[in-house]
Amino acid sequence: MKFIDYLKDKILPLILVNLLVIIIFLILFALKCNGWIIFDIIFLIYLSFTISLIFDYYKRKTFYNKTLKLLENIDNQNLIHEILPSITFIDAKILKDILYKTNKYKIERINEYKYKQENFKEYIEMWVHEIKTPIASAMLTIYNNQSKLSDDIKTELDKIEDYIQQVLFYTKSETANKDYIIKKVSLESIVNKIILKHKGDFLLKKITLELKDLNIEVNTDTKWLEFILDQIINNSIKYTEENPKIEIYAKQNKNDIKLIIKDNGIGIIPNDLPRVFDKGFTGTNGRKKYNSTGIGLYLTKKLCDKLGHQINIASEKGTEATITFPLSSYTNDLKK
Amino acid sequence: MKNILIIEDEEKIREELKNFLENNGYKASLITNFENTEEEILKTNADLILLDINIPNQNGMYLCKELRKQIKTPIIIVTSRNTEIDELLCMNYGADDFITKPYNPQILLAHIEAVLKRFTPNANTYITYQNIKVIPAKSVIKTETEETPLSKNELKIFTYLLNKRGIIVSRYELMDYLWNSEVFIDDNTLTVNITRLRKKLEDIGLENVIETRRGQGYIIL
Repeated sequence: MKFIDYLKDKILPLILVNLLVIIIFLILFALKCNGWIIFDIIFLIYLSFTISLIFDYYKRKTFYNKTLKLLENIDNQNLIHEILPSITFIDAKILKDILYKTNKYKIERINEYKYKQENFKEYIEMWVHEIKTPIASAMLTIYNNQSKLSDDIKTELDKIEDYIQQVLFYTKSETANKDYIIKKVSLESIVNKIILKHKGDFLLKKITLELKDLNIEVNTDTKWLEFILDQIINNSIKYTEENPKIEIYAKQNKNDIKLIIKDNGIGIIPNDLPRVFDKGFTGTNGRKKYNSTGIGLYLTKKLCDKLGHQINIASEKGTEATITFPLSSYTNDLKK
Repeated sequence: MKNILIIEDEEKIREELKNFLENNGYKASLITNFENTEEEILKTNADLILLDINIPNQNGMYLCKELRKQIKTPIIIVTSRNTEIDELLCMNYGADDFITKPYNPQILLAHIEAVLKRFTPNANTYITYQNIKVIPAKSVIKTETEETPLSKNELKIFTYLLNKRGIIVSRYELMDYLWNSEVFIDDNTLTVNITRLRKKLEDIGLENVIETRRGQGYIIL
């Protein structure tokens, strides 16, 4: 709060006091008073007015400066009214009451939305589980009645299943709840599971698969890592070229373990590379040939962040995705 | 023939699953009345129980725990909830395996096979062919006088072909089977494996065991 601003705010009392001084001067002058007496009276009026003004200014300045400083230093600015400095004038009291009331209202609204969102998430999760029963049933029917037609339907069912899985993980990634368990799992078992899931593609497209050094354990949530790997391998399978080949291997370093998924597919153009994790970004490849939604890699990145893994995608000839599992991060988290 | 008990309240799935298991060399029993599920299960003499966790009138996990107290029959839990927590819970309640809906039926078969294998001590089971015995537990071919070790892939290929004796098995079918058992080999590797297997068979005096039918696949007669 600048003094000049404060004065501008007090423009009316300033005008009034000056008017008062002029009137008193005129009256006293008309009464032919002694010049010294007139000067003393006017001086006293100005002095008392100035003192009260300066005193009032400092009271406000200290209050608001302290408040602003506190506001900068607290995490939850919503709670500022709880820690206001001592109140020495009436406006501050009113300010505090207003803050308290608006804040209360805001918190109530936020909780209402939180509750609605939580409800919606629960509904989605329930729906995802419900829908799996008819899909499972259709799947079995197809296996019991195999034909060219059933193969086609199976391909579509697999796609539906993938989209449903995406919905589930999307809701999981958007909510603050921690519904994962970190434990030691073998990379091999997870990789094998996802490869097996894509068996049909691997065999049909005659993709050479090279698995190396996967007999290693990392700290992760199995289901989440399965989903993450599924997205990456799915892309590798989707964007193949001649003599397709996918290599998956792990590297143990001093501070981390890296899981690398490398393909010799069409790759990602340099302009697109920084944006592959953006929500809804489909890139040149995705638009050209395939119906990409731009959600898969976005979710991959988000889930990796939540689990404390790092993910990087590089592309020169083909694409190389690296997931890094820091070795000490969880013990560090526990220490905190 | 192994008897598999299906606990599933969805009628359509139940029937299809029964068909599917029967098409794949198992006997399947069903429970249709879920008033007294536990008693019904105990009445059936099954070799393996496929337990859907969302059954009416009862908590599936609790049922699994109760069953475990009374019988040793392997239990595979089938559920549509696939979080880590669910899996851990199932294992804690004494299930032997856990598979999530919607499952690829062939993967379900692989799980069933694996669990059954764990529960049948099979050091002594073997397949005979002419004058040799194939012993999967030791991964060897045994003749009167000697034992020839087989690699994991060779063993899998040989036993698969032997089990389908007299039927042509296409390369695709063979690869499919190998992939289902998590042996991810490509076309060339399959050829190499078959060649090696033939060589090993020739070394013990068995010529032309695995015949090639051009454009169709392999057959053991």
